[in-house]
Amino acid sequence: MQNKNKDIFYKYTVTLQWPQVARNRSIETLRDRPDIMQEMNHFMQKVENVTKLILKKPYKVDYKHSVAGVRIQFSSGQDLYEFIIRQPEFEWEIHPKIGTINSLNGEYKSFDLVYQPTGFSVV
Amino acid sequence: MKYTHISITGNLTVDYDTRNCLKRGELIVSGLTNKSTGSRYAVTNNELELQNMLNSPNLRNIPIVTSLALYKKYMFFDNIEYVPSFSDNATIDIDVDNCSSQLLSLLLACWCEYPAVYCFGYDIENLKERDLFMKVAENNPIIKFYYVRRPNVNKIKLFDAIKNLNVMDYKEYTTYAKQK
Repeated sequence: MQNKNKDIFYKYTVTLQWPQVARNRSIETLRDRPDIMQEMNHFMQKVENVTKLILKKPYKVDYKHSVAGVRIQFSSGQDLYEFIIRQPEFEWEIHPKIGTINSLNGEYKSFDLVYQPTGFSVV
Repeated sequence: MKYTHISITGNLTVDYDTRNCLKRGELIVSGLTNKSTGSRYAVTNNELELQNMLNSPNLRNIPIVTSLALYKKYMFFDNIEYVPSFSDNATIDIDVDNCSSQLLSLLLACWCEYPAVYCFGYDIENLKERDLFMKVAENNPIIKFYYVRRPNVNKIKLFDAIKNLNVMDYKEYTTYAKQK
């Protein structure tokens, strides 16, 4: 569920990359190419549908368009794990970084996600 | 309500009802030696112990604080956190990956900046641990440290040289907790 409650602590952040066709495009290009914009809107719709389907705890999708991709915040680590592990199923690609906020001191730290034949690890 | 102190349980078994610690203060537990309820943080840097703590129903809603190396490995568990940087105690040169859980709890208690830290079940028989305990106390002169132990007629004179490190027994602590 996408929750707007301010008390929820969104500990994890990942960025989902845009579909291949929309990556590394300038604002001017996007303005001139409605087909790409449509592709991006479809992608956002897909993200919304899939997150609603697979995530059990509160999460937040950032609807502000960013060149890097779609930023998603999770309150549950288990949900994030599920989201990462099921990437091939939904044919999308996460920017290989996980941001976490330490609840003790509020520090934001980014970790690299390394894919391996047997799964992935965080370094 | 403003808390005036923080208590920690060390590596040794504590035969004292630590619920008294929660009356006007917070509690940090080290590892799984003492199963205290209502603690603020649980601390370990031992992987096997961390796995057991993550599966412990007692600690389900309590942040488990560990080293950064272990955090990276178990970050998908919701209640795990990594230790903040203990810049105030950087001069002591403590390796948070390999030090004891009780020392990590002590450093975390200092980081919380309470005026007093009460240490239950703290192992000072280990000379290295004792030395580091004293160094931490000396390094934080504005915090009062209390080594809380079972009532014993024999006095401990080890800490006499350190002004902010005192010895207290369970009875004295109970009286103190009731006063608050």
